[in-house]
Amino acid sequence: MAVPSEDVLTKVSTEAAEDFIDAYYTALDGSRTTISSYYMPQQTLPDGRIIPVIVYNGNVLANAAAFQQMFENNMPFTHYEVQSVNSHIMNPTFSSADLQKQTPDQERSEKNMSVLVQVSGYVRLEERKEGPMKGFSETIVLVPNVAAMGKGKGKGSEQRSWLIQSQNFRYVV
Amino acid sequence: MTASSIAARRHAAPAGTSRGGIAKRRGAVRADRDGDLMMDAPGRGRGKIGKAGARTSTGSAGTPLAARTADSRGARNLERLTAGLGGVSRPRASNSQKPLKEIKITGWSGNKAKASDDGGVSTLIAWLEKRATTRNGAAKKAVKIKKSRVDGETLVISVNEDDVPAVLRVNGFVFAGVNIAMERPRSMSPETSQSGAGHELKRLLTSVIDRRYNSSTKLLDLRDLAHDPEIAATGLFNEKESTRAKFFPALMKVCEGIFGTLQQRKEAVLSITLENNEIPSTTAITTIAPTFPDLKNLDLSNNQFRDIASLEGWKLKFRHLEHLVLSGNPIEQENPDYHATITRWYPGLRFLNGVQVRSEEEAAINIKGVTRALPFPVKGPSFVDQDKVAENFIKNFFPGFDSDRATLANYYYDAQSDFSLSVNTAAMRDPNQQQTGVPQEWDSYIKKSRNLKKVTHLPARMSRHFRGPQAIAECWATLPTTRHPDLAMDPSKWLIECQPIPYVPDPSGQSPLGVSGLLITLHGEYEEIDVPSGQAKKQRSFDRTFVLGPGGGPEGVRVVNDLLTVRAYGGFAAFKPEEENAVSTVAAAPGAPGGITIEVAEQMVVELTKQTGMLPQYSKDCLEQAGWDFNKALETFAAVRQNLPAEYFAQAPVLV
Repeated sequence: MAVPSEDVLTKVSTEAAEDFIDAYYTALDGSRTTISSYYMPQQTLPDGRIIPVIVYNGNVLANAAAFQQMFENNMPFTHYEVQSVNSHIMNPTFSSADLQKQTPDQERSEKNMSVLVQVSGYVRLEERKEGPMKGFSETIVLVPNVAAMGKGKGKGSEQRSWLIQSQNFRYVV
Repeated sequence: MTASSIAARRHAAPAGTSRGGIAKRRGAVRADRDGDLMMDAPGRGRGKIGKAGARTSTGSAGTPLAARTADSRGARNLERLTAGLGGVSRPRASNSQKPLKEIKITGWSGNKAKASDDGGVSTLIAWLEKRATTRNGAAKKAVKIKKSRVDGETLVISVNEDDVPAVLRVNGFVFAGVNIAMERPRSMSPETSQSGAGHELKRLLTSVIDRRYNSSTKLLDLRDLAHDPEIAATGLFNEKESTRAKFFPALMKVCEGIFGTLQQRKEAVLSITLENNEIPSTTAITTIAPTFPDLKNLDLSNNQFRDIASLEGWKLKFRHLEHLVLSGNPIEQENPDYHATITRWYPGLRFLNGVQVRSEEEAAINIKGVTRALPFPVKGPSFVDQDKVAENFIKNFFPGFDSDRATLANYYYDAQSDFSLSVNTAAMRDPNQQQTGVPQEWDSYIKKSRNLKKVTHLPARMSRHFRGPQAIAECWATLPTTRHPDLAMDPSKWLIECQPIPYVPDPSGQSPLGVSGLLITLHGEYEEIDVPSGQAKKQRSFDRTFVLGPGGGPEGVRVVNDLLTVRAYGGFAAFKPEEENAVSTVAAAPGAPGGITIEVAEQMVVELTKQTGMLPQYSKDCLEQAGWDFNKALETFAAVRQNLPAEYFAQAPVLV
């Protein structure tokens, strides 16, 4: 399997971050029933820890479904506005066993990574025009969606290219 | 990133072009016979920027005046009335600032954001405000869209008169893949005099309200409007939905004139009935909500509300509603389960269609709750370390960054370590400080900034990414000298969280799937120091994300990733937990420690909670089992960790 060149790696990792962030915050604002589809399936690691990890303002969420439920039932109007995004490759050889088995060579090698994303922006709460605003910072670790590989791009939940493995959100202003 | 910002970014070039076109058009402002400025030149459509695909049908607004039917005269009069009421002579003076002007927007309905619940309207409005603000002259005063309504393919927005030019400068821009077209405010007759027709309408509507308002029951009776002889005679409340859409805004203007300020309206009108008006959705009557936001009783019975969607516009309005009547609407047949949804929307609602849905106590608790408590209350940091690796790293890192960056880079970073920097030039500022006039001066950062929202070309993204200690140290050397607050002395100025993270690269190559590492997220501030004098020049806030993994350095730790966001100073008030943790009450409970003080025991519980991620009560249990020997408690925890059920650890907060 050929190792992708540095420019391909940069392209994949930055565009993954941009596309994901774009869709994810839109879902928080307006398609809350789809929120949990942005997270990897729950998994217990050999050391007993459970992923995905979701920490929101210091609240540790049990799983993606609990997070989605908070947004569906308790969160008033939100408008997230992303002002800055940056991303790095965290692990350039993210070769899960599933990934090795299922995917065509090129896609596997190009998406064979986990991506660390850092976002800075603000969220307007409760009311579109006059609602209170809070500045936020969010760090997200994305992993390739093995189930979606080889199936082309699409919008359905099983088709998302990248999924959240770890997330840390904070109001900072 | 929203769809709108993509569109904006993708179409930066057309935006630039249109500015010239608008500048030309501004020359069209002229004076009328009396020398008063008239902004509305005749044949206004012709002055528009001719953009391919920008023009779509504007509905009745595009019809030549002569071709209009007599039937629509009422609508025009109403508009004149609305405009006139919005003018200088408007009676409500106390809390009004500037008169509002309407702008019609077309061509937006095919946008890519239309899949969202409201057809992309809220996204469009946010986008318009942002675009218009950046074009609002040197002052850059934020442009606010005060009101909006959708009339078929047309979105009608209301803005302060002063903001009209800025909004119009956005005309022809591309929103989410489509060109939008705007039409200037109509009927901008000189504002000091109301036209005869407008005056007559105001008199008429005032008379209608006088007749239909009962000051002893505080009820505004708007039943059977189509059968009101006074209204019917004018043809204002006829079959045409577009005409009706104008009726309620005008009526509400008159109400504001009659009942006065928001507080006075709240006291004067407790109940409104809109029974028997063939109303299909809240769209046409939406202006009632901002005029009477504190309404307690609302009767919508015997109308044409068909589904939840037709009521959705008022989902977040009327936060003090106690009684709602929806009987006699098609929704009863089409969606018999609507009660649950409606009850959930209005947390203070006690009666729906006369049937009790909540006790008074429950409603009172809900109301108090919703005004403040948002989900995800700000809690103290979630800091789950491993063998103090993260703690030691942080304690070394920032003093090192302030004093000797080259040594620091060689200490923690290896050939595969990555660093990059992003500047958020638009970040919110400290709400407790007035420093809006101070320039931010990003010169020393901006050429290194890798903000992907701004830096779109691949070569720039590659060159602003630094790998290896030497490249990283060289980048750091160009950044201003910093002084971070002392971690021990000034802990409130920091917010530091840490979580273990799997699949971090293993430099030894022994674990191809990667090994466990730590994800550290830090938020804080620093001062930029003028080196010769040692004086602080500038205060900044920052967010910094580290991924730590095993490595060959002195501490066996390497930085895998280091992402830094620098932004305007935002203070540290947001870091403070909203409520004090319940830890102290737990630790102070009986059964505590022999030989050590309550305070020390509390600190041990807090520390163990931090280090293990367990809930405080289990940390306390664990310490008790270990005889209040902290290290023994940690060992106990490590031994049983994998067998502990999930409920031992911090969970999602219980739903209210």
